[in-house]
Amino acid sequence: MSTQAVESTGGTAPGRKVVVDVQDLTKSFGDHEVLKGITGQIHEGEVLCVIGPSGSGKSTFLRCLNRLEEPTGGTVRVGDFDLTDPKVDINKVRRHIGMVFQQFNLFPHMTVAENIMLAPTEVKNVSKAEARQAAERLLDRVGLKDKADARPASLSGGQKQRVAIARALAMSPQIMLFDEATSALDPEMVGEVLQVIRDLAVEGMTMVLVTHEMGFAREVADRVLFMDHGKIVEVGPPEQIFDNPQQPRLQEFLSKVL
Amino acid sequence: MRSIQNRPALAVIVALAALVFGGASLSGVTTLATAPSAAAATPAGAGQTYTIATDTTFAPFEFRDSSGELTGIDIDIMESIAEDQGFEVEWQSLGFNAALQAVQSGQADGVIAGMGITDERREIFDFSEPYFTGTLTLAVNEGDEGEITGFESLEGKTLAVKTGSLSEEEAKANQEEFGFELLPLDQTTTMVESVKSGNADALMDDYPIIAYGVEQGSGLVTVGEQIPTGDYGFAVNKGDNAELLAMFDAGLAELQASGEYDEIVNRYLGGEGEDDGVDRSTFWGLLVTSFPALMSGLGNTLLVTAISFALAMVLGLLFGFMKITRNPVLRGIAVTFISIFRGTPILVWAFFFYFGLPQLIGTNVNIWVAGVLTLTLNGAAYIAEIVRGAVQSVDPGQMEASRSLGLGYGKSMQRVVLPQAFKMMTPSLINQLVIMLKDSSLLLAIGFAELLYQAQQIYAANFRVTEVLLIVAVIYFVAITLLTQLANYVDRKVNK
Repeated sequence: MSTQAVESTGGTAPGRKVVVDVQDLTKSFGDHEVLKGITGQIHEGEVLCVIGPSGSGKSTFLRCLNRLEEPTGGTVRVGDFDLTDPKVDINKVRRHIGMVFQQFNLFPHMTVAENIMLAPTEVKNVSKAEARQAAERLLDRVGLKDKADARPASLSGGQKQRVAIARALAMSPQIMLFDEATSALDPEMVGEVLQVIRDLAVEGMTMVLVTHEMGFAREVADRVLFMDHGKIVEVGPPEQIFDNPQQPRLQEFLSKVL
Repeated sequence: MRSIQNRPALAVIVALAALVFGGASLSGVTTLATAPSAAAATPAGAGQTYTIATDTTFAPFEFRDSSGELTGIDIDIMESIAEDQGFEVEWQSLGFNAALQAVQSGQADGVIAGMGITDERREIFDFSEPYFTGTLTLAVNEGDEGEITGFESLEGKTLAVKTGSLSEEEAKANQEEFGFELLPLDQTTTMVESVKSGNADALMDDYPIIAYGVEQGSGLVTVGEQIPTGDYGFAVNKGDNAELLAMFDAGLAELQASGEYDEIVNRYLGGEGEDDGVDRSTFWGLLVTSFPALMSGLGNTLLVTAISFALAMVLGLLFGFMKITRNPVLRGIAVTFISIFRGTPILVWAFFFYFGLPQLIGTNVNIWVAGVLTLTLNGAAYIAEIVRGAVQSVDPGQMEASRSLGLGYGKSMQRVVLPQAFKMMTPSLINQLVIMLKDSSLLLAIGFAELLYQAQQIYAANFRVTEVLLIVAVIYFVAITLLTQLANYVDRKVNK
């Protein structure tokens, strides 16, 4: 399958600003090549869902977008920054990229509010009082207004993940990355987290979601990208991917998960 | 009288330290007090302060009294002579072999330590006129003096002697004739304990030591005739401090002529001990008389541990972080530091910093500095490993989450990883603190006046080893228990 698939079959509105531009991205761990040349773009306001079997490289792809994984080859541009330029100040770039992890990764020694206030006060030099106000607004937005002074340990999984989203939003990022954000949750808590992501989509947040929630991907995605063995197999609007898949590998995958 | 072999263990350590830090030549040192050309009327060296090395405890020649003050026949004679001749004395209480080493290395100007004048030693030292004539005596448990009255009544019995000393030679010479078994032991205290516990029936050792112990309630009595052994002398490094030696000889003659010399000796051997109304033979009496010295020892133990632990934390954090950086040079330095100080005994470093280092840098090292350096560097090696382990055990997702928010590596460490690592490492750190407190007792080998050192001083003088060690064990136990409680309390407050 062509690595230019994103462009050729994309359903994006041309002319919208490009937020992420990936060219021929490769990543190897030792001898094992996990990403074998990924090329594509993500536009402002777009929601891209990445699906694929375990080990297909979708999480590695996502982690290359904020350089939690160091790309082996190719270029990754986010906004005005070239992440693959060795001279780039990666801390500065990451302020514009929010990330939400499967395991939440809340800081257990801080309260919920302190988790959210950490980056604005440390990185943006926002005053404590201002950061606290912002944190409370964000908590309100994710439905956890009364949990500001709670410890992460006292929260349910769904609540933890909503705090993690609020924490990422506190830096007012240009783009949000979600790495299997609902995979570690009990089924009854998946809904509350998806609702928060859905709201973000409605507000026009640019997002890349690695997910196993096919129904949700069909609902919120502007485009869906199917990966296998470190390559993009097929990419297109959800109707095409789920109702009219072109590639046999995707057809086989969907027959197993749907 | 003592020979070098009296304390083989210590001798080996000193030799080892000298070997390990071999580059240190024994001559490359500054002499503390070089004699100014003095006016003819006053002795050369008058008005000077001299550093005099002595043993830690060789009662009644040198030992600590109940308040922890250095006292004894050697001390009183030296100070009386100093007063008579108009110079000042600064004491270094080091242990016998360490004292000799100190004079040879220039850390001290002279040594007075119940030291026998021998031809061997004359090659290294210049001796004064003899100031005391040593004798050997037999001693037995109180109550056995009717049964054992000399070599002739020892047939089939066991006699404890000091390994490699004249008491062993003397006993061997009589062994065949009288048919007794020999039990050679390292220290007088061990010999006394053997007799008291029944492992030996009698012992043979220097008369003044045994006589003083009898007076202090050791439970032994001396029997038989004393056997003359040799003369004790004050010594300086060969060719150095001739004026000091001359003043000693002149002052000694004065003391002997005035009768002050006899007064001093009788004070320790004539049955006129300290009379403060306390019966020293009871456990309570022992506790009361030894308590002030033990408490001052405890104070030093706690202080040296506190200072060393604080510094070891700083160094340990530094090396712990160096060990997990990606920089191979920093990592190499940390790995080397940790393996050196984890892989070598504390005692070696104590000797090195106190005796070896001065010879390398040409200036004296304060005993506190040497002690703190020793404990700090050893502790830092262990703390570095604790820090490394704790930091690496924090979920890597924590670092990733912090970095993804735009915090740098240092900030992420400081705000996110370290607070969690500290929480995890606290129990190990408390454990390390307790170990360091106990390890500080090793500093007694260089004469640092900590708790166990003070205890050794006391039982070396009165031979009540078991009781004194029991008291010390209780003090350590109480101190460590309280310290652990305090640390746990702080842990709960800080790491809630």
